Formats: sequence, structure tokens, C-alpha cells
Amino acid sequence: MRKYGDFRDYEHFVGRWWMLTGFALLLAVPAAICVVYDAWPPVTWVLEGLLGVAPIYWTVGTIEVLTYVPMLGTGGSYLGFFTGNLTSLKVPCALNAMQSAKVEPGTEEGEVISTIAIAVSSLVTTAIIALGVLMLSQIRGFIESPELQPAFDNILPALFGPLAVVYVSKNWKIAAAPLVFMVVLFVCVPSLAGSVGILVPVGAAIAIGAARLLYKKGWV
Amino acid sequence: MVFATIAWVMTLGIIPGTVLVPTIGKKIENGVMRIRSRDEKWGSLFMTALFLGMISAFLGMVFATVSEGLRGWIPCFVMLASALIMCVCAVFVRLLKWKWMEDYALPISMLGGMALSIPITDIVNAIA
Repeated sequence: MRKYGDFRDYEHFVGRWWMLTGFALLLAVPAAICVVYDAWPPVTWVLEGLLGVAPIYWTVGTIEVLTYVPMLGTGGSYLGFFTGNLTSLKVPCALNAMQSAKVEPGTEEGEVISTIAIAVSSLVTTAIIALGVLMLSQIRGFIESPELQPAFDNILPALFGPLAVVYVSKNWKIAAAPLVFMVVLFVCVPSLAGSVGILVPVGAAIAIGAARLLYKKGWV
Repeated sequence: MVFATIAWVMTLGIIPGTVLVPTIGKKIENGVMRIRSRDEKWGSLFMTALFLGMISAFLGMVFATVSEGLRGWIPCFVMLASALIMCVCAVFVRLLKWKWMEDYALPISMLGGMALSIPITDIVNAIA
């Protein structure tokens, strides 16, 4: 146990340095654009722009950290939160890998599998994006064709359908309450679809409450 | 100038993850570890509930357009189609002992669902 604790401390140490380096590189991109084009926007323009996106982006970002860090583990979190695309890629990828390896999130084994899954996912994604950029002119017509549009419009339903089969069927007693609540909520207030990220902790709180109740009653 | 502003706004908009994980990530993990060390079974259920809460929000979102009429049901039909493919994969794994399919069931179902969304949309548009 001590060894695992030491390893986690080491992961945090390395992760913080890498995150700091990544953060600097991230800021270097707009800074480089400003330097190259000699176009430094007034701070008020940036603040006005941020005012439009920050309330939702920063709230969802904070919620994602609180929700996904326990699932992804230390190494997976550092990798996943830097490379991004958590909901539709990194989290399903890590959970599917843990499911296949028959290990649980939040355990030593889960930590290893999750980190490997997210690392491989990040590498593959980077390679595919690089290929996409290189071949953009050739594939653009294909990607933007109206015939394929429904496929790209339905990525999330196509992803969460099978995930539901795997996880909801195994834990239907816990899943029932948050699932019914969310379906009713979205049917009654469709405009909430744009801020689904904010509702993730609401769903988690209901699921945890239901799980606790069922656990206390000895039904799970 | 406008392009540079957009670049700054986009960059600053995505910083919470890169800032919060190094600052509070360890505290969150320690909290989860504490729950697990106190009661292993509840710790496991807690993690399961956390994930089910997330998945519930996204599954609920699929129903957000149902009030728009038959076309609004397309995401639900796609979700059902991909879920059905997952079930078929599970049947193959169990009955035909295709162990390898376990690893590929999720991508097969997802891509299958996306592919089926095209005829589903065509059919719904023809009816509606």
C-alpha cells in the first residue's frame, strides 16, 4: 500500500510539471499568433469574449474534474485533462478498458489500465488528427457530404447506447433513479441539452443517494 | 486582431482542467481512497454510482428533442440501434464463444449505430 502511495505521489509530481509545461505551451499558441501577425488584441476584447464562454466552460471544466478524476485515476487524469475530449473519448475508453480487464476504477489495477488506455487513446487521436489535417483537402468533401451528416449528428447517442447496455443492465437498481430523472427533465426542459455538463453532478448525486439507500437496505 | 482574440478566448476557456487537476486532483483522490478504505463495498458502489450518474445525464439528453415530433426521436432510434448491436455482440460472445469480440463490441456498436443513423434519418424523413 505504501508503495502505491509513493507511486501516486510520484505521478502527481511528474504530472504537475508536465501540466505546467503543457499550460505554458497552450498559452504560447495565441501568444505566437499575436507575435507573428503583430496583432495584440486589447484586454477588454478578450475579457468580453471570455464573458460569453467562461461561465459555461469553466463551470463544466470544474465539474468534469470533480466527476472524472476519481474514475480515471492519477495518471489518467493528468493525461486526459490535458489532451481533452473526455466525455466522448477518454472516459468511455478508460472505462471500456477497465471493463475488459475486469478491474475497477479507483483501484491500483484500475489506475494502471486507465492510464494505458488514455495514453493509447491520446496517441491514436493525435495520429488521426495529424492524418486528417494532412489529408484535409482530399477528405473534406467526404466528411462534409450531407449524406454523412446524420452519422456525425448522432455520435453521442451511438456511444451512450452500448455503454448503457453494459453498465445500466449490470446496475439497473442504482441507474433507475438518475435515468428516470434525467429523461423526464430533458423531455420537460429541452433547452438544458446545451448545458448537459452541468447536470452530470446532479445525476451523480442522485445515483450516489440511490446507491446509499439501496446499500443501507441491503438491496445491492 | 479578431483572430488573435478568438485564439486567446479559446485558450483561456479551456484552462480549468489544466489548473484544477494539479491543484485539487490529489485531494479528490484521497477522498475516494478514504471512502474505499472505510468500506470496500460502498467504495465500489460509490464509483459505479458516479459513472451511472454521468451516463444518465447523457442518456437523458438523447430525449431532449422528442417534443419536436418524429424527427426529434432520431437520436433515440440511433441509441436503440447501437444498443441492439451491443446486445447482438454479447450474444455472439456467449453463444459462439467469440472472446475477441468483447474488446471490439463498443467500437462495432458505436460505428454501427452511426452508420444506421443514415437510413434511420432517411426513413423518418420519408414518414414525417
